[in-house]
Amino acid sequence: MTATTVATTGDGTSRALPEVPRIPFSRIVSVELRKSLDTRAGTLLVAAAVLLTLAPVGWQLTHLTDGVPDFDLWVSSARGGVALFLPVIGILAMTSEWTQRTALTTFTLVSRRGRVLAAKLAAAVLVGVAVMAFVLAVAAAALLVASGLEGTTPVWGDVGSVVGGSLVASALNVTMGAAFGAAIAQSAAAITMFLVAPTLWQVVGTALLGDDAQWLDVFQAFARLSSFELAGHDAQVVTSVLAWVGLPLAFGWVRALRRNVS
Amino acid sequence: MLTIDSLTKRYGRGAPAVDDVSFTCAPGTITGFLGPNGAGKSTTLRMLTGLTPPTSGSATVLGLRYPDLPNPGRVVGVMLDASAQHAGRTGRETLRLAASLVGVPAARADDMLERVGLAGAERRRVRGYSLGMRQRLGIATALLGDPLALVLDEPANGLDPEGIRWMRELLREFAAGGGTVLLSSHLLHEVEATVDRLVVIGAGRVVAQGALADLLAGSGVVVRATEPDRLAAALRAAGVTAAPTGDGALRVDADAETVGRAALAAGAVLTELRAADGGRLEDLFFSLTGAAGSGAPARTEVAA
Repeated sequence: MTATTVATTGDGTSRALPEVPRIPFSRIVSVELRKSLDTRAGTLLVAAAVLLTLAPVGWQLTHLTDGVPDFDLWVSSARGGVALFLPVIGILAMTSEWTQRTALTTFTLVSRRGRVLAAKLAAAVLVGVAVMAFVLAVAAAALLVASGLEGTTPVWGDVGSVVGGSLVASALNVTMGAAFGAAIAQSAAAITMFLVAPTLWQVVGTALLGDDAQWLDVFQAFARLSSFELAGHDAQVVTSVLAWVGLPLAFGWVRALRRNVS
Repeated sequence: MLTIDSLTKRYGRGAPAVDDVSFTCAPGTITGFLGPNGAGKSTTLRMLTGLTPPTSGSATVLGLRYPDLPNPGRVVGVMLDASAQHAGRTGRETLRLAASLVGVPAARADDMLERVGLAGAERRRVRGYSLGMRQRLGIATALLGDPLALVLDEPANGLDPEGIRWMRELLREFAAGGGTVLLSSHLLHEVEATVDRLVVIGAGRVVAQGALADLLAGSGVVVRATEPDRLAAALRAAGVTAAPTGDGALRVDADAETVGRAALAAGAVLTELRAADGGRLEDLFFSLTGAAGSGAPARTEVAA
């Protein structure tokens, strides 16, 4: 039946454990990547991201009345719609196993659940970064095409910080989405909470606490992180990220490790 | 190969869902894990496969806890719920994903589809599969890593008689090759022809376990005579207990020879004398179904 040797031990009933190495983490990540793209929902999400990138850029390319925008402006119009989708990638990565009940199969094949969760997070961040890389490429191409059409010299500005900042922002948003997905473990509820809770805090917190609300303003923290300018707000950035990303991720993670899979 | 040792699972403060369950499954055998719905079968199997943490006790595969297996799919093929498949993936994609996790070539996924008779439906999404087809896909997933053991929860569910026969042959072949099979069912007749050993569970406790033949054989004989009263008296005189079955026959807690001699001595004419087929097991099983949750019935132990 197998190539494994049959060994009889003292009780005469045991067989040898096949000498198979532990499943490498990279393999789990690649399976999770494939799982995030091989369903109709996954394909639609990527298609929507592509469309939301191309549509505003296309519109702008055909309406160059105010001259050719700089690279960073192309990037912000290209990523405007996608920004909404990035957290959803993270959320679905963490919730879909439970919603589709495939956790039963996944966790019997990889019994160390922490490895699966880490692989899901890694795969989601990779997808998010890839989507952002596509956005940046489209923005760059649009700048070149527009400059060619108008006969102007493309203005790239500080490409390094725009590119780096965008990639960091996408990774942060996906991770925060994953944290919400892990904590709530139900797709629709997690997406709603993600859209409502931090924004509500921005309004209510600022009204109640004034400037002190910054200590828990995660989007401001993300903006500071992705512009690489903490400007002395290090402690506020750290507390905000811990509260909105670290805490839900840790809570959801621990719960998923212990959860009764059925 | 599989060792369940004093496994207990308690949810909240009520009666435990699984109460001190112990049994083992040896290579080359098929063990039927039998009990009414809600008796604790699935909980036990989920504890065995590391999905539910036990309150106490342990379950091991070749001496290792399931979560400590480096690549579980290569050791134990598991199917706990055939409907726990992503509805939006094709059968083929489902298997290929599993194949790449377990670390076997994608071609093996296709071979398994062939093996379980799904080759024609491999490009259809699981959403369009019948329960029987999902069972087949689940079995294909379980077989993928060429494991030493199979753990299947209600695998016959949703299969037609032909499917059940197919599964029986597949499992027999697997066991004949030295594999270990543990499968659960809530229907005695469904597994009777498949298993070598039975573990019967009711209200969370093991109420009977042993070789199928022993469990069935321990149930005495059924005897019919032209003059039932004369036979009954003869049996009483011989010191064996006989109970009328209601249709003119007697069920006797003794072997055929004892009954035959008693009849001969009394000059009673027998019209039928045969082993009572699984009657007691069936009675036990029915009592479980009726009494599920109302406390554990008496245990029956039969040496394996």
